[in-house]
Amino acid sequence: MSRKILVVEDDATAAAFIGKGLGEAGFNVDRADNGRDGFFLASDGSYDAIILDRMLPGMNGMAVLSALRAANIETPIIILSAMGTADDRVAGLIAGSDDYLVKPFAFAELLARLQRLMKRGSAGTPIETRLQCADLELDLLGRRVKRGDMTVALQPREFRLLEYLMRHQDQVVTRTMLLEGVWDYHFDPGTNIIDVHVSRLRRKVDAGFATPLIHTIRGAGYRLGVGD
Amino acid sequence: MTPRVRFFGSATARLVALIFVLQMLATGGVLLYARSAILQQSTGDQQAFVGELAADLRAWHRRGGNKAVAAQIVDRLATLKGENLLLLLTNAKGERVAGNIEAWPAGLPYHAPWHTIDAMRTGSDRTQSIGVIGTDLPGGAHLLTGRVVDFELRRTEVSQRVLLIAFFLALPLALLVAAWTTRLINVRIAGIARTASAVGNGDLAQRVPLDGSGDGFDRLGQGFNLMLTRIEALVSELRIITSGLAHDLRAPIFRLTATLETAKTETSDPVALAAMDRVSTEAGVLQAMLATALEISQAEAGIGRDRFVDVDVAEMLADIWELYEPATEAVGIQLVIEPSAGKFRLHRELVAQALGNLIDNAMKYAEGADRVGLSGQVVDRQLRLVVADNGTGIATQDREQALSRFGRLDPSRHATGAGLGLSLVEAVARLHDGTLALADNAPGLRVELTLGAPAG
Repeated sequence: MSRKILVVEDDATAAAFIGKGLGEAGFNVDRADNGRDGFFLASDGSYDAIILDRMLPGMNGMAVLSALRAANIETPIIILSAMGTADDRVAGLIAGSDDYLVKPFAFAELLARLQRLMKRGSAGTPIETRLQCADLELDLLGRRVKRGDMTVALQPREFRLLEYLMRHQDQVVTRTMLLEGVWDYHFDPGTNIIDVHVSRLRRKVDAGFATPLIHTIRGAGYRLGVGD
Repeated sequence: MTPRVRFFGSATARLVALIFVLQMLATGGVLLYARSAILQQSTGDQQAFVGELAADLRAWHRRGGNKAVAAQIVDRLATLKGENLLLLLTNAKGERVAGNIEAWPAGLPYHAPWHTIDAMRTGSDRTQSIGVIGTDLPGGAHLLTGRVVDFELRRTEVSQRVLLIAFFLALPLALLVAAWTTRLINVRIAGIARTASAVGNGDLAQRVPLDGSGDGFDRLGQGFNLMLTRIEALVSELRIITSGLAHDLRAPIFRLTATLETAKTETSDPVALAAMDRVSTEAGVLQAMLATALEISQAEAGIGRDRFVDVDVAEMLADIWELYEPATEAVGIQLVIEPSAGKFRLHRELVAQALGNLIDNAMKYAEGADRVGLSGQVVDRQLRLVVADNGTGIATQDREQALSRFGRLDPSRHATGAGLGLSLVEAVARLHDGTLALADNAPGLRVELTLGAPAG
């Protein structure tokens, strides 16, 4: 059974763009073009995730969000907004959204975040002490990393970067997701800052091994896993 | 954080002085009037008494001539009341007939209105002040009546001393009134000043508290509040326009990138793909400019102050170093943290972004630089953050241009970058009541971002 996504977006072009992308990624998409209809559709809690524009006619996105949370609808929600300052994001997250994405965005960014949300929603978060991907092992208690029999020496932040990638293995993670998840910053640091970090990590983790684990996904970000 | 006000020479000190002086003048005037009134009253009493005595004796003269007057004089001087009296009757030749003084006082005319003379009475051992009236009697005789005013003068002296004491008692009271009045005024004005500075710091919702009394201060406050309401309305309109504009611009950019992304999946023509990649890049630049412009206008409007947190300066710089060090190393620049310490309350995201912009600028524009130093020190409740490179620097005359919005020193050489980087840094400085300054690092550029208002 394919997953159901509700897109609440008044801009027809944007809605079509999101709908088309999600359809190709194998989701079932419903659309509402105003806040009231969006709230009505979402209020039975049958969706796996909701993509909610912040500025909507009828009832704005933040009001829809508060109303749903007040009605105990815990469906994961991503807010889409043209208001992209760090403060706007925090306001959105405080109001109970699970993620906040600033327009314009690349579809890959939306997809990566949506998949992260739904994975979190279904699997829960068991307490782990050890993360593993193929022959790469990360010991969270001892703060040690091993690739095969070799110990990989990492700086603390490189360790956290690898931890984030391993917790989201086989998912695409974007540069902004890494900046938020590893550094807790929400601004655009400019000049391929994140790329340099990832390539440093890649040199330590992948160099000299037959199967690379860190993959660059063009136009989107990175993915850690076996194979392309 | 209250700055030390220079008291002497301030308007407050002058007001205190003015009120004090006026109070003292009023008190002094009242006391002086009281003193002269008391003096006049007591002299008047003496005059009346002596005049009456003269009239009485003249009446005796009419009845019985000099003899009767002389008898009266002897009688009266013998009574208890006579103690304070001066009486003298002289005949037509000027010889003493009766009285308690040897002769008519020298220099005193025979017919004299009220005089105060110094004379020694018979039987007295000292000279006394005596108020006298000289009267002609029919037949060429002369009568001198008088009364000792010595003790009256003493009484006046006492009253003067009392008045002096009253004056010095009034002194601290006047000072108190002056200080209290000034304080009252200052408190009212301070309310208005507090509101003004809060508004200056971006809290446009602040209003002057009114007491509804309708006095001058209340009317000033009302006028002030009316002005603030107007300003707030204008600013919020501006904000709505700004964010509305940003929203309206983002929507078409979003549609543009969405269309491009869709188109890229539908063609394999390398020429078209390359062109679309270039357009995507430009759309990205446009979007970044818009985002930065929005950040700047928000920071300048004071939005985000509620998100200030206490931050350990050394830790914050270590975080930023950690984020940027790989990138600077890749372009051959050593990023170094110089001694930093202290705690400061700031907007973590925006300050990090500002420092990031400065490091990014150094990487892009500091020609010949191989070292960028990063430091932060808390001095006098200000945090001074410095990003200093050892490149070629910016000439003094070009520094202002570098700080101006959309200003780029050499637009032809660096195609990317909107020229908003330093404007954002400056807006972040202002959000923290601080300043941004460019200086010479000899060699290189030294950017000083000072957060917090100067003390004092």
